[in-house]
Amino acid sequence: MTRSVTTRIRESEAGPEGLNAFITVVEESDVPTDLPDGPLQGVPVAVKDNIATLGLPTTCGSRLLEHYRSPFEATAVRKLREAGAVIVGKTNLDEFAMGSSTENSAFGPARNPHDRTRVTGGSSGGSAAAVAAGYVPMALGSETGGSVRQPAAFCGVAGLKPTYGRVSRYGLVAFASSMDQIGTFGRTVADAARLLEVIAGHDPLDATSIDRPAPDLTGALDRGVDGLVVGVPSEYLPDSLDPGIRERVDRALARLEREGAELREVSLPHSRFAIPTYYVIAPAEASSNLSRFDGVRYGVRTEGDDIGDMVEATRTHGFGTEVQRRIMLGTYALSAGYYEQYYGRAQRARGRIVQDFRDVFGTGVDALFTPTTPTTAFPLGEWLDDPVQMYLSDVFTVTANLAGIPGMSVPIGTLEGLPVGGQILAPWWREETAVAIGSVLESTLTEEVR
Amino acid sequence: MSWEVVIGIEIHVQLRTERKLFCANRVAFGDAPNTHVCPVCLGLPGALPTLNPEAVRLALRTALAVECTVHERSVWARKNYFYPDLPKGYQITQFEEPLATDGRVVFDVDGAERSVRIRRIHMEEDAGKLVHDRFPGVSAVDLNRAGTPLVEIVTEPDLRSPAQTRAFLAALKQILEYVDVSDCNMEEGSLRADANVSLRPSGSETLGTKTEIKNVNSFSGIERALEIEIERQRGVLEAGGSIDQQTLLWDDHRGAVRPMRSKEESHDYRYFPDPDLPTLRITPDTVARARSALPELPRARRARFVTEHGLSEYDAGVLTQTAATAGYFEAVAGGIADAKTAANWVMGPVLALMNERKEDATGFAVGAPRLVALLTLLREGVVSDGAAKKVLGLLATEDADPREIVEREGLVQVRDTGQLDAWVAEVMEANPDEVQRYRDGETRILGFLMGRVMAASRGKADPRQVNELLRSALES
Amino acid sequence: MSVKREEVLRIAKLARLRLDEDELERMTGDLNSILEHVDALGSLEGDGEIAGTAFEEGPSTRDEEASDGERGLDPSVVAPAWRDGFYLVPPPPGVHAEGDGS
Ligand SMILES: [Mg+2]
Ligand SMILES: [Zn+2]
Repeated sequence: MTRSVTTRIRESEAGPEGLNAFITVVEESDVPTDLPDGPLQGVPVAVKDNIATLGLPTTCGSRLLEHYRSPFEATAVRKLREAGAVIVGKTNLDEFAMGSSTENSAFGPARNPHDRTRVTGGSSGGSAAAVAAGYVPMALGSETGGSVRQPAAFCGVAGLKPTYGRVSRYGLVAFASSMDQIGTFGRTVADAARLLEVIAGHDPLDATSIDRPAPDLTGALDRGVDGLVVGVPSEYLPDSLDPGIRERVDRALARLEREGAELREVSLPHSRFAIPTYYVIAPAEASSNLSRFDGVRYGVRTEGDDIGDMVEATRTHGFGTEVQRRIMLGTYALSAGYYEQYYGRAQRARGRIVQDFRDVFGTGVDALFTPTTPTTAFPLGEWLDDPVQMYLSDVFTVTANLAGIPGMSVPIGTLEGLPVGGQILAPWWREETAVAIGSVLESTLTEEVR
Repeated sequence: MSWEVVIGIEIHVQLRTERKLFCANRVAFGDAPNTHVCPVCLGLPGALPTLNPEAVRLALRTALAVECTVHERSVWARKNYFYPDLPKGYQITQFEEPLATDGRVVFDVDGAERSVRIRRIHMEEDAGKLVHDRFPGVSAVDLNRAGTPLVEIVTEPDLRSPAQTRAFLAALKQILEYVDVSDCNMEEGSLRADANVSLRPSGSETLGTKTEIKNVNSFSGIERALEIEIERQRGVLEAGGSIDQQTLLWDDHRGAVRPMRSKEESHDYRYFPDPDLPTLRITPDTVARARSALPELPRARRARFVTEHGLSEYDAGVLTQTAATAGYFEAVAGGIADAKTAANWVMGPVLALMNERKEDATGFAVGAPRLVALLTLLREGVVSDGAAKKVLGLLATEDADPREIVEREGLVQVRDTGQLDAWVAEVMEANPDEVQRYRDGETRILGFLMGRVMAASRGKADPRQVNELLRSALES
Repeated sequence: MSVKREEVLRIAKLARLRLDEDELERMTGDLNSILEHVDALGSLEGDGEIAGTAFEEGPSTRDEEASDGERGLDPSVVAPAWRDGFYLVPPPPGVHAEGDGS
C-alpha cells in the first residue's frame, strides 16, 4: 500500500496542478519493505526539509544546500523509523524556515490545495499541503514563529507545536535555537497527536530537551472539554479582525461552552510586543546560526581569490533575499552600540510575555482560544515585497514560541472556500489539554472543510 | 623622564580532558587531520553541543587553585566571527557571566614577594588549525583541535616588568601542574599567553594606551617580546609621539613583533547568550568538595618544608619544584627519619641521575622505598658513602634490592677488629721505616700507612676503625 | 531612528554578504521599515526579568555514559574541496600558501 504512495505523490506533483509540496520524493524502490512493528508501522509520513535524514537530501529550501546529504539523522526521524513509519519524502519550506508563505524557497513556492493561486502559509507549507492534499495522513514540520500552526490554518489541517524542550532539536537545522521546535501535522487531531507521541522525549544529544514523562495524547482525544476553563484573550480579537474569522471563532467558542467548558475573558497585555520582540530575537539568533554556512566544510561553494572573497561569494549566492534580510537585521541588532537598544529590550519584552502566560494560567485557566491567523490564505506574491505585512500574519502565533508553551491549530470552518484555523494555547507541558479541546472542535466543526 | 611599565596577561590553558568540551570526540594531538571530528565539532547543520562534566571539574579546580570566587551560575555566550578554523562561525565561550572572578597568584621574583590579581576565569572551546605550508597555493583546515576545552585566565594589569611577567607565568604553570588540570605544554599549544603592555610616567595613576602581543609560545619569548615592545613604546613616547592601540604578533624566528593586518583583526564579536546551552550551575557544596580535594599548593608546601623539615628556603624551593619531586623527597625523608640526608641525596645524586636518565620523580627508576633501603644501609655503616653512590647507579639499571647489590658487588665494609688488627700488623711489619718515622714524631706519615691498610683490605675496611686501630698500635 | 547606507554596508561586511547598489537601496529601506516597527519596544517601561528560557530546568552537563564516544564520520563526503584528509580553502588575504603537498 505504501509503495504506491510515493508513486501517487510523484504523479500528482508532476502535473500542472502540482502543489510543489515536496522537494524530494523517495523512489518507490527505496521504500523499505520490512518495517519495525511500531505504533506507526507502514504509515507514510512526510518530513520538512530542514530536518536531517540519512539517504535523502536535506536542502532547507536553500541553493546553498541544494545537494547536501546529512551524514547523520535527526533524533525525531530516527524515532519515526523505529516506530515503523515510512518516510515518503522531504517537504518544501521557506528557506531555512524563514517565512510565512513557503514562497521563499529556492525550489519554487508551494501551492494551497484549496486554491492553487494562494499560498500554503509557512514556513512548513509543504508538509501542510501534503497532508491537506491527502498524500500523507501526517507530517513533520518545525516552528520558530508559527510555522506549523499558520500553514495548518491556511491548509485546513491540524497542526501541533509542542512545549519547547518536548522534542529533540538534534538534526533540526537551527533558525532561532531558543524557539525552534519540531511540530506535527495531521489530517485529524488524532494523527497529529499520535505523531507527536512518537517523537516526544528527552534526548541526551540536545541539552535543551527536557526529561519529562511523555504525554498521553491519544488518551486525551476523548476527554472532552467538560469542566475546562478556556480563556479568551481580548488582544487576540481586535476590532480590526476580519468579521468572517471573528464569526467562526465565536461559533467555536459557543461549541466549547455547549460541551461544558467555562469561557473566561482574559488579557495578555504584552502580546502587542510579540512581533517586534520576535523580529529582534529570531534574526539575532539566526544571524549566528547561519554563520556556519561559509562554504568551507559543506554546501555549494562559490570560489573567490582569498578566503574572505570565497565566504562572501558563497553566502551571497547561496542565500535568498529573505534569509539575507534576516541575517542583516540580526547582525545589526547584536552589533556594538545597538545590542541594548534591540536585543536587550527584546529579551526583557520576552520576559513580560512569559509572565503574561504565567499570570493567566496561574488563575485556573486551562487553555486559551484565539484565531490562528488574522486572515485566510493570501494570494501568491501578495506580500513578497512587504516583509512587515508578511510578518504580521504570525501576530497571533509567535507569543507561544517566545514563551515556549504548546499550541495547536485546528480547522474551525471556511471563509469563501478557504480554511479558517482556531488556535488553542496550553500551559507548559500540557499538550494533552490542547489535544482534548482540538478533538472536540474537529468532531463538530470541520465537516465543511473536508 | 622615567616610565612605569604596566603589563596584564591573558592565558589560555588546554584542559587535560579525555573528550572535547561539547562533543564526544577524543582530544588528541598530532594525529592524522580531521580524524577526531563529528557533526558537533564540524558544525554540521542540525548538530548541537552538550557540556562535558570533566571539563567543568578541571576548570573549577583551576579557579580554586588561584583563589577565585566560583559563581553559582555562569552563562555560555557566542563570540561571532568568521575564520576557516572556526566551524560554526562562532566560538562558544563565557562573557558577561564567567565561571569565576577575583583571584590572585602570589609568587617571588628576585627575593621579593609579589601578588597578581586574577580578574576572571572562563571556559571556552578551542578552534581548529589553518595551515599554509601543506599545499601549493591553497590553505588547509584540520579540525581535530576544534572543540578542545580551554580555560582563559585574565589578570589585572599588576605586572611591572618583563622579568616579573615571566616569573608570574612560571609560578602559574607550577600551580596548574600541581593541581594537574593541564599538561601545560607550550610547544603543543596547551598553554598560550597574550600580553597587554603600556607605559606611563612614573607616579602617574592613569593607564597609558596599551598594545596586545599575541602568538608567543615560550616564557623566554614573552620576556623578549615585552622588552622589545616596551623599548618601541618608550621611543615613541619620548619622541613626543603617541601609542595607538593595536594587536602585535610575535615572530619567534625573527625575534620581532609585527602589527596584525587589519584583516586579521576583528571588530565586532556580537556576543550574546548561547541558546543551545543551559545556564551552568555549580552548587556551593560542589565547590566545597572541589576545594577540599585540592592538593597542597607549591608555596604552602615550600613553607612547610622549611618549618617541618628544617630545610633552607633554597633547598625547599628546589624540592617543591614539582609535586612529584616533593612527594619523592617526603617519602624518603619519612622512610629514613632524616630530612637533611634525604634532602642532600635527592637534590644531589638523585636529581643528577634523573636528569641524566631524562626521567622525573614520577617515572624515576629508583623508587623511594629502594632509596630508603640504601640510605638505611649507609646509616648503619654497612656501606660507605662512596659505595652507596655506586649502588644508586646500579639500582637505576636493575630492579634489585640494595642489599643484594651491596653483597654481590662485595661493597660491605669490614668492621671485624680481628681482621682489621691483622691487616694493621701486616702493614706495620712491611713498613718498619715509616713506623719509626711516625714514632719519631712525623705523624703526617699516618696517611700513608692508612692507605696501605685500606689497600690491603681492598677498600673494604671501615676507615674510621682502621684509623683508631693504627694510631693506637703505633703509639703503644 | 533610521539606518544609513554606510551602516548597512558595515553590517553586510560583518555578515559576509555582498550587496550591489540596488540591493543596498532595497535592504536599507527594508531594515528601516522593520526597525520602525521594532522601535515599539522602546515604550516598554521598567526592567523586568530577562526571559527565563524554557530549558532553565535542564541539567548543566551531559551524562558522559550516554555519549557514544567518537561517532565515526567521514567529513570528505560533504566537503566542497578536500585533499589528503584536509579541507582546502583559498588562503587569507596577503598569505602566501606554500608546500609540496607532502
Ligand atoms: Mg579566549
Ligand atoms: Zn566532535
